[in-house]
Amino acid sequence: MRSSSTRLPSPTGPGSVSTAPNLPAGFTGTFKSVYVNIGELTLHAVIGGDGPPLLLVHGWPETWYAWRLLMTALARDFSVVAVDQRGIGLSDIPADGYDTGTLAGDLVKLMDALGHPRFALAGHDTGMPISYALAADHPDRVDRMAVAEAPPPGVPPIPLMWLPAPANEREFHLMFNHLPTMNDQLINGREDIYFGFEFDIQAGTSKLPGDLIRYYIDILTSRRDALRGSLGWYRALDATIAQNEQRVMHKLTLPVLAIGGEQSLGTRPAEAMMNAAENVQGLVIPGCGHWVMEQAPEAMLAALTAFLAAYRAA
Amino acid sequence: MTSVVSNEPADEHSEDAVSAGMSRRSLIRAAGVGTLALGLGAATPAAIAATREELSPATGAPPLPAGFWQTFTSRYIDAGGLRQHIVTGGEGPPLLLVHGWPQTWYAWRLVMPALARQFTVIAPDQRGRGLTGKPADGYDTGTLAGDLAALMDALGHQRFAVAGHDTGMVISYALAADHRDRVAALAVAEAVLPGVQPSPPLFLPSATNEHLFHLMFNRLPTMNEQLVQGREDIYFGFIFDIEAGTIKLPRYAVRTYIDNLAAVPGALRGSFGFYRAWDVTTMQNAQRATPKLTIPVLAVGGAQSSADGVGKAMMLAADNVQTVVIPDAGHWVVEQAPGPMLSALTAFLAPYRAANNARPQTAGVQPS
Repeated sequence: MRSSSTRLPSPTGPGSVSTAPNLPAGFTGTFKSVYVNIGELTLHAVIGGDGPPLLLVHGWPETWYAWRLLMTALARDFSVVAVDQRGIGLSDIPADGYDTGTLAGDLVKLMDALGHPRFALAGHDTGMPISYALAADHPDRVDRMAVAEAPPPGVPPIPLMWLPAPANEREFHLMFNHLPTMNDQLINGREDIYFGFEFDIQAGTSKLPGDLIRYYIDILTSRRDALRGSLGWYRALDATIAQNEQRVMHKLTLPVLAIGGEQSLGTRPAEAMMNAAENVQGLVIPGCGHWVMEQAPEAMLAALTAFLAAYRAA
Repeated sequence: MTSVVSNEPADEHSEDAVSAGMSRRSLIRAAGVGTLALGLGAATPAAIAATREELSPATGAPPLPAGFWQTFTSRYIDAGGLRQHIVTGGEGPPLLLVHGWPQTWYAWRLVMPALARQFTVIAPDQRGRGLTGKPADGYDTGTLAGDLAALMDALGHQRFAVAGHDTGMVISYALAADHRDRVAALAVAEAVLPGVQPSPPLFLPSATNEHLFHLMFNRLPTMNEQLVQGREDIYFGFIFDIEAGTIKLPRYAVRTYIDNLAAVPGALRGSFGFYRAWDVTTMQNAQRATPKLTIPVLAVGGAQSSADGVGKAMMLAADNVQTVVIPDAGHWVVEQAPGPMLSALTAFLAPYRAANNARPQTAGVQPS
């Protein structure tokens, strides 16, 4: 695996491993940033470690960096691939292709290029519906998946629009981000306001540190089309939902771990996945908000390690 | 302090005068004039007439139907602990017109002259909107309805008909339900009844999502205001456009509403008030729905917007509902289709008018 990756170009600069702040000890010795050309576009991924492959898919409005606190430990047992989704971080920002079917196809091509025919998968937030699409559309590729904090749209139960005010604050972005225009005009130049709000409101009681939020917001303002790329997933919701309404007709058989933060979605990820898969374990992380990998890294690592043990052994 | 509104100069009705571009400095100065005038301390609140500039501080003189100020006057009424701005005129049984978001009394301008031939028309600015007071609280529909009941008390109208559009529909429903002895007939248009009808799903097809996203966004306690402040053109321009359907509102009208939201202190915050009180309104509505209203109800929807959805919602809350769908109209039915709206309203209100013309309302307030 290493020999193929040494041929890949390596980005430096904001969003790459080499300029990432506050990395755990040993991180830069284990991991490096690579650009992988998958045909239609080039993706950025952070790769490292030894063992069976494990693909980590971040959510909104984050990047591969959301997994940093788990990656060095995971690298002891797995070849870790932490990707930037299409449109995000250092990956290209094409005009289209933000439905989860196409995004899942990106990841399959990525793992092809890295030489991984079969892998385990973990997805957070928008990365959860992307992981669902990957497991559903490419069942021969995925051994098992751990998913957190975003029931796939179109999979029951159907979420409602009119919610008590605190839930409305946490979920309004699902309508607002979906707008094809105007949302970007309001956010542009006011990213601190908008994304600052999101990082705060989704966190529950234990807020993320200011410099961490600054890091993510700087990436969202670093390229001309970064905002468009960030909203792409939501603007493609119609297509994603239509796809999921088909996918849900055939339940997944692979093992699924569905995780929610107690102060965020709680049991809802598991409830949704039980409608979409036969073999689902649910986990609620106590005292934790939406940013599970960053708010509860030890709990997440323990859960992932236990869940992946059978995959690792096999 | 005040100038009595009398004969308006002829040129103030031209669209050109408005769209000739009032400078931002003149907007603020005009708003200041209005505020100063109020601050000089009125003797009889009911006798204060707002200056033409105060009526629309942003544009000074928004286009109105010919002869409008010969029929109508503008007043400030202190009622229910709130200084309420109203535009009123006409002769006949009282008819209260309740505007919606993000508009003001001005939304009714095209139908007011004809209605004034049959009714004493009262078109207020809601709490938080236009030239009415903008307190921090009281935006649940129970309190908003209380504002209007107190207003009608102050004007000497014990029993009256009500027409409400958009958030004005939800407020008018509360008025009819909470003050059942006061409201004789209820006409509503183009809104939803949280707590009465079931919630739509959060995930909707893109076109519908564009029409309804504001029901979540507007409810945010602060961040919506931070994003929109200084960018009112972007946000409200989008709303006026997307809710219109194929027949867009004229630029002078959109400009009038947006300038009001941008230039009047507290107007932006006030405009979110109804939505920020959504939870309270929802709980109140769940109580109001039983027993159902027995008075006649007219439920109007634009064919390109709510269509018959308004009727379906009202049937959950009222026994005697007529539904009208106005062809080719979008959300802004009153301005997009004033003719059909007038026909529907006058037909609906004919029994009310007939029953009340035998007992004219006099009660101490002279019609203009």
